[in-house]
Amino acid sequence: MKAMRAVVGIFATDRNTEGEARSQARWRRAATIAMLAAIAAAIVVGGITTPNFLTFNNLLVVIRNASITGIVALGMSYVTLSGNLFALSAEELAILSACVFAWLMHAQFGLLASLAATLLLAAASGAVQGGIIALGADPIITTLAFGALFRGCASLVSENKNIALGSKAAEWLGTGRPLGVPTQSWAFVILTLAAWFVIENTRFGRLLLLTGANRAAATATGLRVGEAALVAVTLLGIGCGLVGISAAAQFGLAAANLFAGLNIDVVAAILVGGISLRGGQGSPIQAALGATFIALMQNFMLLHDLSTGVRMTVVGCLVAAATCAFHALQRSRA
Amino acid sequence: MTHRSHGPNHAVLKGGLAALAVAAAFAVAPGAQEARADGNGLIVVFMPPGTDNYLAQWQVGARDKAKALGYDIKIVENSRDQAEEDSQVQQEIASGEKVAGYIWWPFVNAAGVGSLRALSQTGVPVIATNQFPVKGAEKYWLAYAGVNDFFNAQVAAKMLLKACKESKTVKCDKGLIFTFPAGYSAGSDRRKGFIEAAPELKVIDTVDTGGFMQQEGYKVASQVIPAHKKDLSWVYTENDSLATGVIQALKENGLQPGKDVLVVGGTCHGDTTNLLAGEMVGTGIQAAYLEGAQSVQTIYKYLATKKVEDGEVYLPADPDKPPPDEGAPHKYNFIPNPSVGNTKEDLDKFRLWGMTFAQLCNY
Repeated sequence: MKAMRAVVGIFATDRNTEGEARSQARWRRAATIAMLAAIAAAIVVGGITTPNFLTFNNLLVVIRNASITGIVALGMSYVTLSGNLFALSAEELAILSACVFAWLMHAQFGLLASLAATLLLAAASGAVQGGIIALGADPIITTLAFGALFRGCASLVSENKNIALGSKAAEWLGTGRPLGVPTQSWAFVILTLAAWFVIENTRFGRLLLLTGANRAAATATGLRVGEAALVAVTLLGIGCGLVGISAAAQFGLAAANLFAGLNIDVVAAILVGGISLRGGQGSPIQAALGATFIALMQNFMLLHDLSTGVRMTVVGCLVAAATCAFHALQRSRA
Repeated sequence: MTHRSHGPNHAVLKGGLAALAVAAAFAVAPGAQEARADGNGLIVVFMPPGTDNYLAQWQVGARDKAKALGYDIKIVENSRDQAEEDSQVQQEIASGEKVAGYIWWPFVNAAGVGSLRALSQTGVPVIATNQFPVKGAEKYWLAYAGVNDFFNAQVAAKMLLKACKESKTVKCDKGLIFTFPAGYSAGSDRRKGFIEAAPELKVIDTVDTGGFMQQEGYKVASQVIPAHKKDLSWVYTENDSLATGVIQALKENGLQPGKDVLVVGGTCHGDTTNLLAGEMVGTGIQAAYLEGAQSVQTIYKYLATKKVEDGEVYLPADPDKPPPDEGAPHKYNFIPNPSVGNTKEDLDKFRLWGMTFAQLCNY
């Protein structure tokens, strides 16, 4: 209630702020519609120019391939919205989670205990980073340092070898297809809806947006701004834990060199989705759509037999173009 | 305007983060802090990171052999970044450290030629390893020791052709090749070697996976296979990790590896699940441990004889004994790359240089 009063307080202190909040909501809707339009356009162009593109199975594959990046991007969107740019330890925490989960399964701790311990570790790893950022540390430097630590730990846990789970108990988590749709895709869709609900309808969502939009005002009105960073990075940690478990379960093994390039992919999803790097503007839905759009473009290029170099170049151009476009739009609104 | 508060905790935080960064650096690059002892001298290795399973096992082999031959070894790892590796070379040379020999494993072979030249100009013998040296750079290295990627792929192609001949359910015709990332010369060498050894197999497409692991193999294969599944009779993946991902994508598309499609990776790794299930036609023993050991042995042989024999040599695939340390190395020294079948009996009875399949492929 105290926080709610503080939120109301923020609106009350500035007669323009209420209008600003409405403007931000309009921005989120406009960005979401723009991303949906871009996805629709890519599907139409791909369908016309590419055999085997516009099939139900191929679109399922696209969602499946967007899901790993997408699930982490949902958590990352909270970090960005809270005004803390990015956590550049996501890839490494996912690797560590995969290795720890595989190690626990291999050591026959059982599925439930291994799941619980891995998710707890991932959440705690996020919370520690979030706590340090909440105390005022730079989010990029903090998470880079922790990223190196997580990768080193993954290397030690795995002894730089493949760790076989040694059990098929977790197989369904990685390869199951309820109603014909991969488990990762279900997780991606459900988590997207949950993340959107949190931002739009909960106290934490409002705290996140207000802290990101104006940290000084949020602090002045008594909002616990540190809580935003702490919870945001903790949620990102849980997302990393989930994708780590999923990857280990999918192949029945894990190693310290999984998830190559995940940090870059996640940042690209955030930028292409149009979430403001300054914080406070955007929605997890945009991150999910950004990840889906990139996966769609990757699929389109792969079916046209383009090499990794070309695929990376195009994604880089997309990120640059999206960043410029959203920046120009924001300036024009100011 | 956004504002970040700066409280009294900042100094403590900065100190803590610095300590964390230092601790992390030690955790990530243990090879950089080798103990020095009196011996035959120091061997310095430049290579991609040991967080990769193959490279980690390579390091174990190199360290064991260096210890056996009385050398200290310093392994300088880059994070899959040729610019970083180039910078490490400059720093090492500038340090003035007395070095008995360098081992050079570039991340991007062609882009690393400048650093290779700089190493050669120190007058210290340079052994190239793993990445078959690019043409025109021969004068910058003394000898090559390691895998022959052409040969590795040819072994895989022969295994596949044999399986095609013996299969009662698959008539091998069209297939797909999944490759390592563009720019990684081992990948293009393997592709060429495979195509050269199996001209009767029609290649529908060569697909760049952008990686080496099962995850990258699956990600790309799950998108490409639906378009070709009606024509597909074989798949070559350049290693068994990529094959693991491709096999899963094949199954999800209703194709049973070993029955509908024949799959070969050609480079074993720690997990034999797909192999023993008959989903791979066999595998090849490209042992990282032996490659590391042989690279160190090549420096030793040169320093002992001050000679390099012309031409190439394939070290014998003796089941019991490793090759002797005596004699001069050749210009090209290749580790053996024998094939193994896909039954438990095949794996159990396999021996190379006194080591078992599990010991050689456990990475």
